[in-house]
Amino acid sequence: MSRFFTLFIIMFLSLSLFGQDRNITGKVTGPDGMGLPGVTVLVTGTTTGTVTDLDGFYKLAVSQGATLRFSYIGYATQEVQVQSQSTIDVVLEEDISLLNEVVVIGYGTQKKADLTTAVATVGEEVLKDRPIVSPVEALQGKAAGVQVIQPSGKPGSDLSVRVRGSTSVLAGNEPLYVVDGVPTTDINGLNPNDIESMTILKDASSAAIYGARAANGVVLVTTKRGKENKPVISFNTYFGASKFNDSRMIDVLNTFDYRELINEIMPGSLDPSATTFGVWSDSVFGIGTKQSYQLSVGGGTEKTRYFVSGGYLSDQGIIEPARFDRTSIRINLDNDLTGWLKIGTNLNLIHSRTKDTPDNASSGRGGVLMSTLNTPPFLHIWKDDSVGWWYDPNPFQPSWENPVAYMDGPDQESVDNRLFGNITGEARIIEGLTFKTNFGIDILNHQWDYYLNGINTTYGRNNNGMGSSDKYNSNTWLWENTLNYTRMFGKHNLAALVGESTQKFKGNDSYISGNDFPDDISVTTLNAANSISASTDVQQWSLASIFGRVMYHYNNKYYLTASVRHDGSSKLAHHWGTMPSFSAGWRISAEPFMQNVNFIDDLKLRGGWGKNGNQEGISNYSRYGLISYYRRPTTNPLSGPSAVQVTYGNPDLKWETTAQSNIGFDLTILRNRVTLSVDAYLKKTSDVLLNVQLPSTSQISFIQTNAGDIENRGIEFNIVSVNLDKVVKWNTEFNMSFNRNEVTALKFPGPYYFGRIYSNNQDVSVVDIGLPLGSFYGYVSEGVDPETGDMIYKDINNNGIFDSGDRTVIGDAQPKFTFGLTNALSWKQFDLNFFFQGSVGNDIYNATRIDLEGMFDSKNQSVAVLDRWTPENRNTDIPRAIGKGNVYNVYNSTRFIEDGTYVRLKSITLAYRAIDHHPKIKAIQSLSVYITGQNLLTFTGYSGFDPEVNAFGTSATELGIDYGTYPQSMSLILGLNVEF
Amino acid sequence: MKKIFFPVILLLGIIVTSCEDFLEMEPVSQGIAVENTNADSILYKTANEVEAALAGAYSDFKNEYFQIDYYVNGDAQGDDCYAGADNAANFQIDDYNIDAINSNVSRDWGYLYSTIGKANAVINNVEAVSDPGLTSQRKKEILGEASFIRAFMYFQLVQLWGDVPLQLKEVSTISAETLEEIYPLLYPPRTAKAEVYQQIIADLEIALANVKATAENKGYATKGTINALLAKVYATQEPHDWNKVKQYCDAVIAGGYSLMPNFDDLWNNSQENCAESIFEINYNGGSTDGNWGAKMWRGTDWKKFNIPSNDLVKAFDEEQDVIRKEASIIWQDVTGIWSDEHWPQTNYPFLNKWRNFVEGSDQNYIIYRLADILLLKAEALNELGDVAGAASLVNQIRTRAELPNTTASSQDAMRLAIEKERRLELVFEGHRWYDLKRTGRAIEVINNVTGVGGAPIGYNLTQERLIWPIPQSELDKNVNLTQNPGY
Repeated sequence: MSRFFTLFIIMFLSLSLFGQDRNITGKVTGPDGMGLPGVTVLVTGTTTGTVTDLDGFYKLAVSQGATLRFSYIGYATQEVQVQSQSTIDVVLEEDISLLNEVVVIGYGTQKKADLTTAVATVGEEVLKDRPIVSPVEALQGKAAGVQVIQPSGKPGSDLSVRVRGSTSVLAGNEPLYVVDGVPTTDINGLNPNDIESMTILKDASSAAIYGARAANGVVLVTTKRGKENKPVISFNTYFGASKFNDSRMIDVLNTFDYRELINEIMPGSLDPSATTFGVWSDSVFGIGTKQSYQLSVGGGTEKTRYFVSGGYLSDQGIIEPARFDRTSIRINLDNDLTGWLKIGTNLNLIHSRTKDTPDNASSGRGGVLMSTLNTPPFLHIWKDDSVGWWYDPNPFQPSWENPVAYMDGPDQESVDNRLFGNITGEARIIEGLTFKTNFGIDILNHQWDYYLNGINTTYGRNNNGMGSSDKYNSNTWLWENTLNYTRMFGKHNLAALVGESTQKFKGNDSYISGNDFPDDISVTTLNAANSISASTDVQQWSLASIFGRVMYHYNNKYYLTASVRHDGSSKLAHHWGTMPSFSAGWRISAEPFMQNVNFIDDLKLRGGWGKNGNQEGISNYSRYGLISYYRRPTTNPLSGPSAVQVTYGNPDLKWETTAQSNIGFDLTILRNRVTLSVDAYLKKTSDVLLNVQLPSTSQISFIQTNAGDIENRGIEFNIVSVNLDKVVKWNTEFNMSFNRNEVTALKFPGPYYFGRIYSNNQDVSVVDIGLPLGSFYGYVSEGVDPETGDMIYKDINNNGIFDSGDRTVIGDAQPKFTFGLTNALSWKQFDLNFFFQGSVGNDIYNATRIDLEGMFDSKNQSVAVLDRWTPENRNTDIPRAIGKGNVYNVYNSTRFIEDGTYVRLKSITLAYRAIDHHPKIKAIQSLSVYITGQNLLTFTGYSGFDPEVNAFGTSATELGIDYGTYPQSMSLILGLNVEF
Repeated sequence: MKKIFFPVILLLGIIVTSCEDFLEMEPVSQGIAVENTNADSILYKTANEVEAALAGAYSDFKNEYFQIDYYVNGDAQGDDCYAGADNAANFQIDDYNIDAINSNVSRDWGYLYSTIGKANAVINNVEAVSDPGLTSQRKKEILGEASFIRAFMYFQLVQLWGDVPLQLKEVSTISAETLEEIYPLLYPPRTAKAEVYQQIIADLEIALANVKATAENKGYATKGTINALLAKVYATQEPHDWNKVKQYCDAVIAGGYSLMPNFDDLWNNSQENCAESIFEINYNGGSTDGNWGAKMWRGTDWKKFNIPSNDLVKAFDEEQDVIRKEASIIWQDVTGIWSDEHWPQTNYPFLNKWRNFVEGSDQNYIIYRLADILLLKAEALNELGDVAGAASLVNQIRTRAELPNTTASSQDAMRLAIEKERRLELVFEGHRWYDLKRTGRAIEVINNVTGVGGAPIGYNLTQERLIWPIPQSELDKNVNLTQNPGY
């Protein structure tokens, strides 16, 4: 008995030693007073905790002096010390941090905190105060894993966008752009001021919902919509000037040195009286201007919301006559017809005019840049003593005009009218079940006219005037229907989507050209041509798909998404492909064991795998063997034109598919001051569509077929940090991407060669197993032979002679990494924002130098040839003046491979918020003025005009080749933004 | 009720999507070559289709190869012309300095095989045409004409490159199933030139049996054309078969051709398809059927190709051959326009046989004419021992040019006389280089060519450089090809 009693007292005492533990209860509510379910209530320093129920109530046993911590995603964490109270009610405040941001994803939206996939966003703040012409420019350097290159500085020219490396050769590498739910491939015409945000879906599982065409990533563009408030009128304007960075100009020989060179190459061929001297670049490079005016109104009532905008942009380039003018009008309407039915519409009307300056061509073929450098310095613009006005002819080759003749000789302009938009309807059938239908159209009308009079240029005189005209109409319609179901069961959240999509394209093209025009040069239309030929062409394609997706999460902690899409394309012989994907996420920071790690606010691990398809860039009828028709003298009786088979049929043509695995984590620390995202990915593209070149002994020398595999693997980092937050605010955003690209299989024996260089007729780009796309191929130069003055090329195949087997891989146009760094500072009413972007480790093939240092014909050369080999100057690295069209010394070789690493201060903006919701000023809500400098500083060792250019535009296999490409320019712009 | 409406729309959408027809898009502006991949499917169903395909093959006689390269290869590569203009590839050809990346070499290879491919498609598929509109007579003619075209192209190939791949079957579809069997067609090795010649002769014999005797104009293959080509083939193939050469030359002569009494009438465009012409490419002019090659040789707008050489003019002057010199060469003043080291600016020569050189001209090109065959027969007679017979033919030509009879009386002297006569008679018609090669005289003649003022130019032609290198781009694409020695 007494033992039992002692035990009891010991137990009682032990219980007492644990202190006065008691039950605490309470309710956790949000700012609106409603109970918050799922809030974690934790006793700090222990693992004891609980979670609030559906009405926000909790019950927990705690000891006196303990601290309770209340935390919930999207709300600021609160801590309360337990004293003598037994009820602790807490009101949580919403946390305005990055995690709460809503991100547009495929066919819906998701909170950034809930993402399980690799997604990058570019918001409105990037677009404002940056005077850009095409919305694609805003993506440059702003998102990890997204490489944007501007291959030409010409106004209105296309940009090349690569999301996580190049996956395709033929089928297109550009991501799919989806504007307000309508897929399109071209957003250059869109007015950046109309855009609310752009989301880039980088990995397979995010893009999988767009399965067909999503292998290169998807960029979702959302335009501004009206909100339920009184009308907000917004006026934005800017004006600026741009010019070429003269420190990057290439110097060429003056007349005296040019004469010496020509005397070495072709003795006695130059007229002794030709002694004048002019610098062609002074007549070619000028001041460009940019201006833009935009007016928009947005507002609405509970039932109707609207956003209407109109804008005009004009961008004149630094080399005439290149210019781009755009007028655009947008109407976005949302209307709640009844409680359960909504309709909306987005309509965009774009009218643009473009004038072109020919580039990427040699001086003999009309390239203005090459002509600026190669035209002999003693020529004038105009020949003085002529009948009428003649451009001064080149005595060696009168058909090689001077650059001003190429610029100003022809009259040419293209005019584009585009109607792009959609109508949507949304019906809430029952609670949680929504049906949405979307009908979109993209109507394009393009016209290009060209006239070269029969007086000024040699080519024009030979033809007695020449004209061309091209009219192109295209019509794409899209119809999509989706059924969306969301439901919450306790802590389980489910969202399911099922839908179908059909899209059809029809385009027709008419092309007319003629010559032999009348003497009256004001008549430029083709009805006046004495000799005419014309042709028309019709193209069609269609796409159809069915898709479904399920997104599940448990208590914002465990996430799972799965989707599948079944796509059919008319271009392929095997129409259909199935693209599945899934992704998962784990919010580690919500786990109980992480609750005491104070400095980590949020840590989410995510991973996924998926398949996407691609068939964008292949021609519409690739699977058929096609016959083309050519005119021939008429027979009696008539029997039609002559017919030639021009392509091979390919009955095996199927989808190019990319399987991508992605793993990454998002980390927010130091009270949301620093956010870090890291992603690693592996993309394997199989059945790569290629134009396999066949030997010319076959009458058709190429076939379009699924013939290879390409792999991309890489890591991306994105860090956002709030450095200072008081009087001076300073945010930094930094992203860096490493991508390694490799061709892993080729069905038809490689290597394949691309990138034909005009002057030496050799191909410089190679595609082969084990090499990345954009590898350069050629000889290895070992300097100039002091005896002969000719180049020595390394004997790679060790057979003692110089032959084609001495060619090898000599460079790689892919960068080791790319990065972007943005700093935003703000002090009182001033904002300073500067943005660096760069690419490190990529090689450039400077083919421009072939025409500048070749000394094989009468072209003018750069001052580098002043140091050329002569019997008196034997030790040099410039070979001799060889002449006679001999291009031995300028074969494709390491001589012209240069390091293309660059860092560019892409933009720096200083803004002053003169009025910012001032209580006394009612008429104007906000007013700010800004000054922006673009491309002000470029740090690079590259010797050409611009390290970012590519003479082959957005090609996937021909990268990093510079051949007289229109360079980018520096600009200074003043702007004004007013909101009423 | 209203709410049910919407899932119905979804259903409609799914029905549209799954409709297979929606994804079947056939080309609108082009035809489809083969309906299925069955190897024996019909390529040409109607008479018009096969006639159109034959016309497609014929139209290659107006491509870049025949508008310019034919004359660059025949004349500038010989000693009659300098390359002219300012084109690196042409300089290499003129100076016997060709490398494997020469752009003319690669494009000529491509052009010739492209035409062979078109001819193959017709030859192999004309028999299967079941359209009653196509008589069996016409079928044979089509077979003959296509065989001629193929043989003509192979003759060009074998003269320029020696051993070349022999493609006799066309490929119209490449698919995974057929890949095994068509692989050797896609990547063929080189065939010895003797075998290529055999094929050429076989094709020409089929052609001879089947083509018409006369055609609408001299741009189509007729018996005369075939005979002329056969004569040339037997004179070029080694060992030369002079009996055959004589036989076929006689066949041509019996075909009703006659020399134009006035040499200049061949060139002054007063008569197209004249009595002396055997094979003439007919252009109608305008933008779709214009001869744009003619302005490569004439005009003062830019420095032209194929400038007559000092050596040629010296040869004319030494022979006192006024008629043919004036008909063949025209002199103009190009002061202030261009200059070079060959000729003074004030008196600059241009080739003058292709005289209509405006944009879209209707200038015809004469490929074979009777004078050529007569001189070829003279050569055959001379080689067979009949010097007198050779002399009488040579004199026919000389008399027309108002020149005294030839003084050559021995076989050796007659050879040189014929060589000289061929040069002066047929200059700028694309024959000189091939004549020098087949007579074995190329190296000796070229290495002794003189330039301005009689000074030797110093060409260094070697045995290996008599044929062209296989284009590097072709070697890169097809590992079964080997390069010619010396390149």
